Amino acid sequence: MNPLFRMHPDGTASRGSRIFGLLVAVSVAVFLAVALVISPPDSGPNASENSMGELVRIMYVHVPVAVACYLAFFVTALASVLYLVRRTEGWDLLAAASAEVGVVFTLLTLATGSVWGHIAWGTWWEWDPRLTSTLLMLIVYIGYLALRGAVIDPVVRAKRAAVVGLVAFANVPIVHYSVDWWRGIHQPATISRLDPTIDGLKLFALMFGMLVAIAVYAWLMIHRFRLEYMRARLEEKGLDVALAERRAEAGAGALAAPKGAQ
Amino acid sequence: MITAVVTTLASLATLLAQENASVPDEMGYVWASYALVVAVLAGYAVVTIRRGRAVGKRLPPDERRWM
Repeated sequence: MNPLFRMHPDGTASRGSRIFGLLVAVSVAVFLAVALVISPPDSGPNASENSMGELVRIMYVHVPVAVACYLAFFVTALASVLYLVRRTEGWDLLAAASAEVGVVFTLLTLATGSVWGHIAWGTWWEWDPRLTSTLLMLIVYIGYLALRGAVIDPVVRAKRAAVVGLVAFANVPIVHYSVDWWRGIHQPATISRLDPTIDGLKLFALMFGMLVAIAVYAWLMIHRFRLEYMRARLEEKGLDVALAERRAEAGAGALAAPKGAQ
Repeated sequence: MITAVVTTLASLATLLAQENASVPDEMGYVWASYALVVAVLAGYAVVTIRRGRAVGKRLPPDERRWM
């Protein structure tokens, strides 16, 4: 096996994941410096009163974690489709791992957005279409994880989870386009159009933040997928042991029955 | 994970307490947001690695390999 992928004897780490983790940690440190110190506060168009000031820095972390949660749920949906087509265990494990990481990123999206809302809108929470659909997305994926924990049979669990993982993704485009489809207080897209509303170092901080968030997601996924893989092996081993014990019990019963009949 | 959650809740509680006493400046909220994100992600990473080690120890060495 390639030494980069050889696992630590008692965990999910490998030499490759440690090198990648170190790079991610350095990237996070550089991002924090750019986002919190180097980039200037927003002065708005022509230094207008509509500028966000220091508050723009929350956007550098809020948007990237939101992008990471979209990516995580996309991976869950894609892996779910591939499981339904190929029935390969690996796709099911990938979907499960990505959904859990996605839930963590969604929680952070809601939390950072709430802090933003408190300053910008004067409220921690508003039943705005973007916020409400994001909360719904979080609840649906928590339900997905709960379903996985509730079904014991690995094949039945994988099938049901794949269907739910696929259907749940339908809400992700609704979350993204909710700011365009319905009127709410959440601001429209900042960069997903040809003329982004920010530029220069601020745009760099935002784009770099997205790359870092995706790198953090990828690093977490390496460990979370390996954990899921080991759990599956353990579960398989447990099922084998349980079946062997059941067979032994049945065999002992069959041997004991003639004795009882005598 | 528990430490990360407690730290985060403590920072938010401090923030809310400050809010009652005096309105914190925007940078206070900005720092709190970044602290929250870093703490939660670091906490989740630590928990995932610990879970991996706990599960790995229960597997025979030949199955502790990545696919």
